[in-house]
This record gives sequence, structure tokens and C-alpha cells, in this order.
Amino acid sequence: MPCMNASVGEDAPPGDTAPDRVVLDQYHREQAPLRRYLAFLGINIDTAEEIVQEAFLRLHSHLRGGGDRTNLRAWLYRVAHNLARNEQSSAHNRLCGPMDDEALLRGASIRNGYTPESLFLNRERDKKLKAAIGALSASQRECLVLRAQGMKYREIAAILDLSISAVGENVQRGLEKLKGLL
Amino acid sequence: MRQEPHLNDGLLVKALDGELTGAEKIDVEIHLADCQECLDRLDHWADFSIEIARVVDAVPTAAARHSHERLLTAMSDAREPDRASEKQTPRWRTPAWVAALAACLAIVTLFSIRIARHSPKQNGASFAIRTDSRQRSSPAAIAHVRPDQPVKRRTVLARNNAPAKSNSAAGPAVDGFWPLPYSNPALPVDSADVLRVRVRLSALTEAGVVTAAPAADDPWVQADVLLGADGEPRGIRLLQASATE
Ligand SMILES: [Zn+2]
Repeated sequence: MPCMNASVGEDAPPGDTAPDRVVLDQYHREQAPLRRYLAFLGINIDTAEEIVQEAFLRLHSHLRGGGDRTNLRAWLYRVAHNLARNEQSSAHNRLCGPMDDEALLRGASIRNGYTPESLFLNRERDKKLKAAIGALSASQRECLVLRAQGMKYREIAAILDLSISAVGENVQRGLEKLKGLL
Repeated sequence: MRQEPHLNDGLLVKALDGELTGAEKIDVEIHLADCQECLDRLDHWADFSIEIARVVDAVPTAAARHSHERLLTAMSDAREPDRASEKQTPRWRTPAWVAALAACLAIVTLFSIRIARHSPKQNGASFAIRTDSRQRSSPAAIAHVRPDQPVKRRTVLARNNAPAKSNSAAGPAVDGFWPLPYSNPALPVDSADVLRVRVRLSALTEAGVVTAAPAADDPWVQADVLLGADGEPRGIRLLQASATE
């Protein structure tokens, strides 16, 4: 990861640097989770890159325009979600299908430092769980992935344009469905 | 041992997520204080949730090379559009030449369509470039062109390695480029890509790029189109017709 403090607005007027810093802060925290979320939506890596860039640039523009700063995280996800939906509905950017298992496993093994035996068992379990997540309805999957990333129901509701009770229902049914599939 | 019904899974998950309403919270707390079975189920959902989070968290998130730099550059350019023109950092390479070419062909097509609708012209017209409607208050820059020679029907794609030029709305044209009336001056121009095109003078007049008296022969003129990072045309620079052959 490149240095996050790379001369952002060093010689710009003080009031003008704040949006840059806020955006970089958000980028530092959210770009990876955002890419994960997009992956679960079935967005391929290249398209996800464009969506992430666009989402953060829109955030920059939003902030420079004096936009509301309440819960920028949810704001970002909402923009990215809508951009992803637009991409998916266009003729040139179809769903690329489920994420590839090998990529998933590479990420898992690097992150968790398992022993070979436990890694094997966890890989099998992860594979099944990931496949089960892929078998959920779009709303259930989106709700569960956002929940797994620490979003509150009201944030998920704002991102997906659902009611809070609908989010609760999606989470609950999604969990039960996953449990049944494993 | 409790006699009343156990908590349903929906309540347990909501409790786990901190999403209970006030009344629900009281009921759940009272029940859990005295029911090991529901506590075990709560633990189960907690473990399962952690497992899901682990799978989600394991998804690789490699950003594209220069992703961060690209964002920095774009933000910097948005903040200081004028100064964006002074930078040479290679970025926004994503728009392929195909896109750039398509954009410019679109301009030519647009102009050509307008040409077809154009009416009476006069010979020997001279014209001057003017700023777009957003800049009417600024002094109009004049760049006289002699359209007295036909321009060879040729489109040259050129990449200019010199620093990119901006069509900032805040200042005058840079290096002879003037904003196209329908371009967004707030967008960064961080590409030095220039496309040479041949257009009818009348098309430029109708597009509001130049002021010119109608000419009967509606001469062809050659122009450089400055392409923005997204491949969209941002500015135009008319060339002396005699110097283009
Ligand atoms: Zn109970």
C-alpha cells in the first residue's frame, strides 16, 4: 500500500484540503472491504477497480460541495452498490459469476496462519460456506456481507434502499438458509 | 428450568447485532439471564457470524497498480484544475486509444451533421475563436485563422509528450486550446492526448467555438482536439490552414 500521506493538498488553502484528507482516510479504511463487497456482488476485479475509483471521486466531489458528512461509509457503499448495479445491468458488464475458490483460499490461508491440517478442514468449510453464500438471494447475500463487515441494520437499509425490518428479515433468513446448506 | 417459550432465532440474531428495540431488549435480557439453552443458541449464532465474517474477510482485495496514486491525482486535479495542466504524471491510462478515437470521431460526426444543415456561406471568411458561454464575462480571445486553403482530408492521431494543457474555465486558454462549449471544465484534463481533425468552419461556428461570418464555400479547417482523461474532448485549437499540409 502506498503511503497515504503523499503530499495531499500541501500547498492548497487549508479549507480545501479537508475533503482530500477525509477521502484518503475513507480510502485507507474502506477500499478493501468495498472491493470484497463488490466481489460478492459478482463484480470482476477490473470493474471493481473502476467502481472504487469512481465512488471515492464522487465522495470527494460530495465533500467539496459541502455535502453531508454523516456516515460517509454507508454513503460510499451506497454509491458503489448503485454503480455496481448499473454495471450489471449494462450489456457489457455482466456478472462474472461466483468468486473463484482458489483466490478465496489464498486470501484465507495468508490471513489466518492455520496449520496444514486445520487449513485443509477450514478450506473445505470455507468453500462450502462461500458456495452457500453464493446460493442466497441477492438481498440476503448483500445484507449478510454488509453485516459481516460490521454494518448496522440502519446502514444496510440505507445502502440497499430497504427498510430496517426488511434487513433484519434478510439477515435472519439468510443465516438460516446458510445453516441449512452447510 | 423455564416454562415459557424460548427466544426465537430472529430475536437472538438481533440481540447479537445490537438491533433490539427497547422492549425486546428487556425481554431478551430477562430470558437469557435464566436460560442456558438460549444462551447456547446465541453463542452458536455468534460463532456462525464470525465464520461468515472470516469468509468474507478472506476475499482478496488487490487494488490495481497505481490505484491510490490515481485517486490522489484525480482529487488534486479536481481541487486545482488549473494546476493540473502543469503535471506530467502518467495516469488515467485506462481510456484506450480506441475510446479516444471514438470520441473524436464522434466530434467529427457531430460537426458533419451540423454542416449538412448549414445554410448560406460567403467566400473568404475569417473568424475568431471565442470562449464558451460560461466565460462570456472574460475577455474573448481572438485567434485569427485564414481558412483560405482547403485542408487535406486526413485525421492524424498524435500523442503530445509535452505537459498537458488545461481548458480551465477559470482562466484563459492554454497553448491555444479553448474549451468546447459542452465540455465540463471542472473535470481534470490530465492527458496530453491531442487528436488532429478536419472540420467545416460552419460546424465550429454552430458549436459556438468561433465567431465567423458565413462563407459560401464553408471551408475545411484543421484543428487539434484536446482529449481529457476520460477520452472526452475538452478543448479545441484551430490551426492555420496553410500550416497543416
Ligand atoms: Zn430459552
